[in-house]
Amino acid sequence: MGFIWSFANLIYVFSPFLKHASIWLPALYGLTIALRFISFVGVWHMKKWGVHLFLFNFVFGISILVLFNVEISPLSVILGLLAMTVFLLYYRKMDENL
Amino acid sequence: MLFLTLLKESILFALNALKVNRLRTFLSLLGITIGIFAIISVFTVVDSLEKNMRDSIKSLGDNVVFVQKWPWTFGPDYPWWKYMNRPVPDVKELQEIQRRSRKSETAAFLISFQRTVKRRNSSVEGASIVAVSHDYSKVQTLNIANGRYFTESESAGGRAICVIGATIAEGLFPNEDPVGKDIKVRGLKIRVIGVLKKQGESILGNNQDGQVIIPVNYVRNLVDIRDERFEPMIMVKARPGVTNDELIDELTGIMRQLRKLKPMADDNFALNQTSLISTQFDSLFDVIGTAGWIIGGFSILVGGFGIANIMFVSVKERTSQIGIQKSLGAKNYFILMQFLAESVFLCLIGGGLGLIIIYAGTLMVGDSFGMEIALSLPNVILGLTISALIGIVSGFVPAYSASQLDPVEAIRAN
Repeated sequence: MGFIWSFANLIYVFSPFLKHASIWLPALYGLTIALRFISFVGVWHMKKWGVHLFLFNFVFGISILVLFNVEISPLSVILGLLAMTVFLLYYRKMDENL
Repeated sequence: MLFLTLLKESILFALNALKVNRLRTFLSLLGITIGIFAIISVFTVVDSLEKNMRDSIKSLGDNVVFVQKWPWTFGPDYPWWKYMNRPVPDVKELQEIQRRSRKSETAAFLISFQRTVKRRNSSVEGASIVAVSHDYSKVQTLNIANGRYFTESESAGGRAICVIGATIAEGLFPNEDPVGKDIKVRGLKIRVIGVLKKQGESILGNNQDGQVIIPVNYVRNLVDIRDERFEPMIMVKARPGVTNDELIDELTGIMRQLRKLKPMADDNFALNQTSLISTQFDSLFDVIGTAGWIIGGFSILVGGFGIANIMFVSVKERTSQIGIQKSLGAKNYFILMQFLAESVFLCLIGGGLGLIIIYAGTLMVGDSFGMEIALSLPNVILGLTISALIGIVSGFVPAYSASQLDPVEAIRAN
């Protein structure tokens, strides 16, 4: 589901809405999607770095949207928090190595 | 330092791998090339159209309010029957606005119609005859290349003089200076006293190149300037620091007084401003941009899957090589970087090619559409960053799986 979420969001990088907000916003938004995808790969392999990266990216993504004064979708925040809760439940069982 | 050395080495490995399989590299990056080409070309055209339109609107004046009969609203529910019996603005109303308004800097009356303009055997068909009151040059920017604008006494006296646009000058006076010479409109001689600088095509069709500007006091003896076909209007320019909304509020009061409208009666005039046009066009450009975004987005996704596929093949092919590297002490992240760099390079080359094709296309097209189509820096940044991101996303899983290989099993593979 996380992978589908990331791929579906990838298309939004080209959204005229983001482009109008700032010329760098599509690139930064794209970066958050790429990082989210990578974090899901880490979580999929039960690596702790995946959770760390997800948490960092969650905060980073919201900071960018706040910084560029873009409306934050409540659904994406809820989904992010939900994913975070699930990841933290399995956090102890995860591997510390790359 | 060690990290940078390893990074440099992994990039060199990646470049070498791309060089070895040239045909495969080319075929796999084609997906990204097409994707970037599709999406950025749509954005380029839309951005160019938007820029041209904004320039056209700006040339009309973004601090100018147009007092007219018909409002500038469009769409299927346009209640034309409410407006059709309204009176048109006239010169007396202009004079009253000039006298009463405190928020306007200047105002001008204007009518326009199309006629064939002649000189000896040359003629220009469909020239836009614009009959204006004297302050028109203060409301609209007139860049006069040669000659001058009317003096106040010439405007007031209704002299048979005109300022012509560049297209009219080229059509009627191919190899001579038009200033001081006569042209004919409806068989009447009018002396050219000024020529405007060439402005180029405008998406709204409001360029001055095809215009013949004459004093309205001259025209009023020839035609009925209250005839609706001539689209009479009063252009009112706001004072510096006065917003259009403030000016509109004031003009509404003045016009209602002039037309003696009862308090509950609807306005029988329209106060238009250029932002109304840009709002209409914004929604159109958003639709085009969204269509391009969806089509191009999916092309990019398909291209990304192609890259991921080729990266899996690349990992499979070089499994024993990975095993040897790991057995000699290569770290997991070195292997990861090596394949990730390969995938990012593939996508960047693909995206770069797409951008080059678009750039070549814009050069070939030139201004044959009557406007300049240019690949802008934001679109180049967008194209390249998206390519790199697609490279990271599509190359990460193969690269990560390569980095997790067991050295012994990897060496024994194949």
